[in-house]
Amino acid sequence: MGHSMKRKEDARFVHGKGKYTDDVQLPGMLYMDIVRSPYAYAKIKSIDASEALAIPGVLAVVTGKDLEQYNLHWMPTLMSDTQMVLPTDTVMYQAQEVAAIIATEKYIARDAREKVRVDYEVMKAVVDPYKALDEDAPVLRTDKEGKTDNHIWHWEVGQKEETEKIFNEAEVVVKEQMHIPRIHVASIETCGCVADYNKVENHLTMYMTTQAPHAIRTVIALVAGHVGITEEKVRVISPDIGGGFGGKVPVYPGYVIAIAASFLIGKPVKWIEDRSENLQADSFARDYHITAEMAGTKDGKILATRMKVLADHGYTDAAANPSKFPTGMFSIGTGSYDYPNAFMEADAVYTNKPPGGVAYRCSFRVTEAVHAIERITDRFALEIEKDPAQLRFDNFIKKDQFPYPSPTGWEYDSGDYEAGLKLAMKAVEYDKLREEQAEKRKKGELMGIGLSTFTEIVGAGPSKDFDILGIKMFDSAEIRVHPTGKAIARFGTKSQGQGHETTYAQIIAEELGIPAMDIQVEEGDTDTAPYGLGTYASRSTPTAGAAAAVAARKLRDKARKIAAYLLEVSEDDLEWEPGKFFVKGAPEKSKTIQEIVFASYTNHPQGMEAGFEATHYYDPPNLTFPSGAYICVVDIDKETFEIKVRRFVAIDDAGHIINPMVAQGQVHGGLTQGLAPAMYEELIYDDDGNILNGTFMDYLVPTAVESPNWETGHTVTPSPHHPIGAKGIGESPTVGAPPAIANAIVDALKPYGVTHMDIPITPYKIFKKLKDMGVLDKDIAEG
Amino acid sequence: MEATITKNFTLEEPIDKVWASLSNPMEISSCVPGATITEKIDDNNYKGEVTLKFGPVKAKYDGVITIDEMDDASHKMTLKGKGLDSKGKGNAEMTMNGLAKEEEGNTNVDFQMVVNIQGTLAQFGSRLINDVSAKLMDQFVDNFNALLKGDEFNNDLKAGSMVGTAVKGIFKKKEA
Amino acid sequence: MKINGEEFTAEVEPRTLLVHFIRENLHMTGTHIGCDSSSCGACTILIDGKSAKSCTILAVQANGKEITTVEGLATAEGMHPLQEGFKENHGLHCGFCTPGMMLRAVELLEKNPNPTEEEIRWGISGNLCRCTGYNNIVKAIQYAGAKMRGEETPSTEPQFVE
Repeated sequence: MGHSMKRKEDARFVHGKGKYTDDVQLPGMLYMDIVRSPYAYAKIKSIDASEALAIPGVLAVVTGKDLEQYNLHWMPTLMSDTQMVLPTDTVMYQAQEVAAIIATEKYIARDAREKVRVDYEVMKAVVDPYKALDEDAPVLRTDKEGKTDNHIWHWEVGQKEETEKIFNEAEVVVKEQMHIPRIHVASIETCGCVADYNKVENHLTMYMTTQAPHAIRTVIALVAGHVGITEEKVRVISPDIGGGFGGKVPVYPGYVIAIAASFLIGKPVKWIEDRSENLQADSFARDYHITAEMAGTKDGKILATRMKVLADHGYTDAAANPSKFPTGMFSIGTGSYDYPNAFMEADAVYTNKPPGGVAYRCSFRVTEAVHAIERITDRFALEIEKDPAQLRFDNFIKKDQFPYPSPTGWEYDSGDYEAGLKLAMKAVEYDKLREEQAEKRKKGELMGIGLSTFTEIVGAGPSKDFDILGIKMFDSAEIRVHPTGKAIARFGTKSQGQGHETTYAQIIAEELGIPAMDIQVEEGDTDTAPYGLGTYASRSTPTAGAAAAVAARKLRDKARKIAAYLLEVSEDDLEWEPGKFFVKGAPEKSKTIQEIVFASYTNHPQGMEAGFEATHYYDPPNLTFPSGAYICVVDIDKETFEIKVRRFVAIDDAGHIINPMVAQGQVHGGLTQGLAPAMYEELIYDDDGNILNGTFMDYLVPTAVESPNWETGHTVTPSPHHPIGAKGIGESPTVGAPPAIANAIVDALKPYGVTHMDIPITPYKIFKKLKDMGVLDKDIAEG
Repeated sequence: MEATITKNFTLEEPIDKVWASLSNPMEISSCVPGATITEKIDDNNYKGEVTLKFGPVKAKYDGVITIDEMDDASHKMTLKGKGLDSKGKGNAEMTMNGLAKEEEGNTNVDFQMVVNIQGTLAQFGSRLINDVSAKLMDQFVDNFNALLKGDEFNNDLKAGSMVGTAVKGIFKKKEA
Repeated sequence: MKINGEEFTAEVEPRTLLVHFIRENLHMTGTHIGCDSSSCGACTILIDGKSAKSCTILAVQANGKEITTVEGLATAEGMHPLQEGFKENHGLHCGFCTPGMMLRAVELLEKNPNPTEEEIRWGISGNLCRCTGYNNIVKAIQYAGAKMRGEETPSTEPQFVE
């Protein structure tokens, strides 16, 4: 623990020996390609596949009508809504799957895609989520009996009346309308699968890009059980994954069609989507329209907050949230500040856009919540002309207030927000920066400093509240130590680059004293790994990491018994140091863990179970609450409004850190994924529902040039309830960075009177904003 | 995605000659870049193909052109075109209003064209449609001039140059 | 063509992309596909020593050329300094962009053996990485550069703000 061990998995990756889904080649394998809708909303009048089927090598063209015969044309979403596998009559978004071609070769399948004639009757798409609620808006989900509007659900939490009263009486009230853009995880590996159905054995092996293989196996059994594919006949293998970030949690129609095709034809079927399909049809993230308000005193005490959300879910609610949380963990939006009253509400609507709402490197809508609270906090500071750092210090939940009950019902486990912000301010030399800024403002130069001091909520989650499709959100570890003292450990999670093969081995090494190099970690094969809910929402360390520690402790208890037997002393006379038990007061009388393990197979005490294995399913007693203090410094060119991130310091508190190098790597990556929506990325749709940037040519993933040199550090406030005091780190930076950047840019534009800008903030948006405000030519030099 | 393109040009030819060609669907279509009339259904309806290219995406529309108005006295015309991409990428609709006027022995022609493209092409086309369409219109005028003069011309789609011009157009705007 | 020092002769359809030929005909799957618009660089290989995106090159265009893929980076003596640099500096997470990133860096260091941080950042700007935030990729290339120049390699320990 706490050691920057080099990653065990890297050897295969740097040699090009990683094994990803598209690398799977099976004898007789067929290829699937998908015909997609060119329209956002249209009736399918007919599908004519005759020309496509005439191409040599094309074996089948699967349509919704074909699947309907097996009742496979619709499937459930994780949020108890329904989603089309293939449409029988209406397409609901551009790039939606319409038909699938199965062919002997990839190129032939692609050729055939252009020969499937689909006759559409185009309808006027509903694109704007606010207009979707208009009384005269067409009802999109006509498949739902009795549905008379496009409203999906309403959700609320907090103290409505008290909050309203405070707002009515408060000295200061600030309010901003914010949009958290529709973005895409854009992992460099797209999604895909190889479905291999063996007719003779009625067995399906599914190689696929999934972050949650066990849950997927259950879903497959639920969807296809009625045609004989029951859970014991399904093996899901999630090989190496080229980045997941939440985008590989959902069940996409392509997977189901591939299974259906393999089932019907009896041969393996490979489906790998291309980049434009990935961006245009796979689950989006975010797309929350938030009205955020804060009430406080003139001298800077926060009294209450109010947030109202309109969530654009696309044509179905296929968000990846725990069942009881339609807005995920959005209610963390009271942030790191101590005030007793808050009220939040949200409404979700259907539009003619792709479904989704995945937790993109974020614990279920935390990013949206953090953006709202951190932005409105800065807005409040601006209103009362108080330094935003001081305002935060004045309102932080203090270290000794933990466990802290939040007004929206959470119990924050631990934190030291002051320490984090102090360290970040020291690192950037905050006071000096403010002096420099004052000088620059005299000259009319644009420099901004932005803060974000956020609290995350991760590690879903305790079984009393958290489930997905009814399955509780525990996670698992199984450790088997071989007679020679080497081990294999298997988990219900699935790394997509997080380095589990190294960090889990380190946890077990710490608890059991077996060198991490001697512990092989395996995940992703449902035939061998214990059941778990998978890797997303920063839950692996808080759940499976904890399971590893507890399972290792079970083994250590067994080791103690065996050591006592071998050393012929009482268990109470033994003391543990990593790697061995020794007799108190006689350290030369000891047994190493390897000797003990060997004995468990060769010379175990009578009456004791032989072998050295343990499994644990960990049900966390609470969530963990990592926090961070981020400071961003930007310079903006006054002529071109080009934004340059000069410095970015990120101080995270994720409790005890298992591997500082891996944790830091997670922070670096997360920060660039926070920079992306803050300044570059957004999926843009026109009024007809056409996506305008559905390729990597115009969906701007930051390169090494846009990405600054990140400066990172940490404070350590262990989680009191986690077996090793860890909290989870993978997502904090993606959550915390956007408001720090937005706050810095808005701060830079203060001389113009700008109070808010929606992300992504681009030079053009600044130009337009200033032009619309009529201040483009304002002389801002104070000197 | 809808775009409106207007074009006003003067031809050094008498109006009767210009109108004769302009009102003849076979002749006028031969001047439209990338367009071919493949079949006459009746006097007012024709079947044809139009190829368009926006950056990386090429679409070939199979469609029907309908003459809504053709007034030989006032030299006014309205054409409607409706097409479907032959590879399933979407559809396009076009309404063109034309008016020819005599101007000191020459002929002034005023065109207004409203194009509505739906489907995949609209993803790529929205930023290019105005520039590409303007270029197409220029090419059409050149071709039409050549036709009247009896010069040889061809109405192949000058794809490369169109995209080039469109890109230049974008940069020109930035400079301005 | 010669791939990683070995001669290959094959008949292919004229439209076969080089990346598909390498992955599917030759079963070398270390070269990855991340987009279809030569934007991401996951498919970067070396053709006659120059980095190229194999998703936008036809297999027939590589006729008679010498190609290096990630599988050809290591030698009998061990890992290439870039492989070592990426491994030692946590220059990769999921590993999907890594082969392309390393091959791009081979040419970068060949042309500019001692690049500045900015030169490295511009040099790899045609290759996207979604996981690492690039800090450690820069560090990995600096490490490899030092090693190839025969200089002492910089520390591989992570640096933290304190």
